[in-house]
Amino acid sequence: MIIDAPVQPCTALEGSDHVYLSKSSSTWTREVSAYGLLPWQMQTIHKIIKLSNLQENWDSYDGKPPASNTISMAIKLIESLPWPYYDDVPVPAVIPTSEGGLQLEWSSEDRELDLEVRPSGHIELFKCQNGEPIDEGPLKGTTHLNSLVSWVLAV
Amino acid sequence: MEQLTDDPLIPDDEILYRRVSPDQITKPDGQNWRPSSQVFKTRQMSVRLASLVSAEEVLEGHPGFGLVSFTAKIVREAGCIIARHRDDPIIGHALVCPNGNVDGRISNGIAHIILKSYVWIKLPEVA
Repeated sequence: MIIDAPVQPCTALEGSDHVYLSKSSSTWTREVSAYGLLPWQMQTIHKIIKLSNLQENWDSYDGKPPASNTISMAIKLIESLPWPYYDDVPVPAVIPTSEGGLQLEWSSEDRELDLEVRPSGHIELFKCQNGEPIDEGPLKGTTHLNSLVSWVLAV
Repeated sequence: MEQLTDDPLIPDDEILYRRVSPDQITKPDGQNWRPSSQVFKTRQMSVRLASLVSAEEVLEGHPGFGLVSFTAKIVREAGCIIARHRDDPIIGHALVCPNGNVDGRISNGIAHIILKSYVWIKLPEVA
């Protein structure tokens, strides 16, 4: 279960069965149940939550911090990958975008998959192999997501 | 409003600098840091011209940030213009924009072309 609440500048903590987000030791602003989540999912969510600490102009080019709905959507994206089929997924890089979005980046030997959660709520994918773009466009649901992860893991 | 156009006074061999936040680097091979494509996927990408400013000047006031360079030729061949405002108060400042869509965001394809040729001048400080 996800208890969703406005995200404030905060400290992220990782517990044994929960990922927490709080702005102080006494005020929880988000609690994500880790029930059913795999270690890589927990670690990724932790990285996502940490980025809610970013301030305006974090990139020195007037970059906007990730919006609350962007963070929620990125977490839901990670949660939506079913287990146990993907228990060995590497933890993706989580990169903030200058517009207030988040990009999840997976890499294998010659493959790269980027999923960009935009502030509008749209999720855009980008695939490249040996440095050459081979596909890009909107993400079309969980089935599509599963096939993309399978591709980058070459399973 | 001033129309942004490619500045012919910026030669193809001009070196362009762009700062890199410690939050925008990745290690895809598990060993070497690389800027994320998101460093370049922005509207009107700010750069500084190495013929007019030093790397130290570009990084001044931005502790912990890294710096990458790439040539004007690379971004032009990728389909961008390099424009300068006439009265820009920032020395050596220029904007890289998609040709024909100066308000548009730099695409994944263009960002990955830059990623093939960038050079680290300074790595960001990673916590």
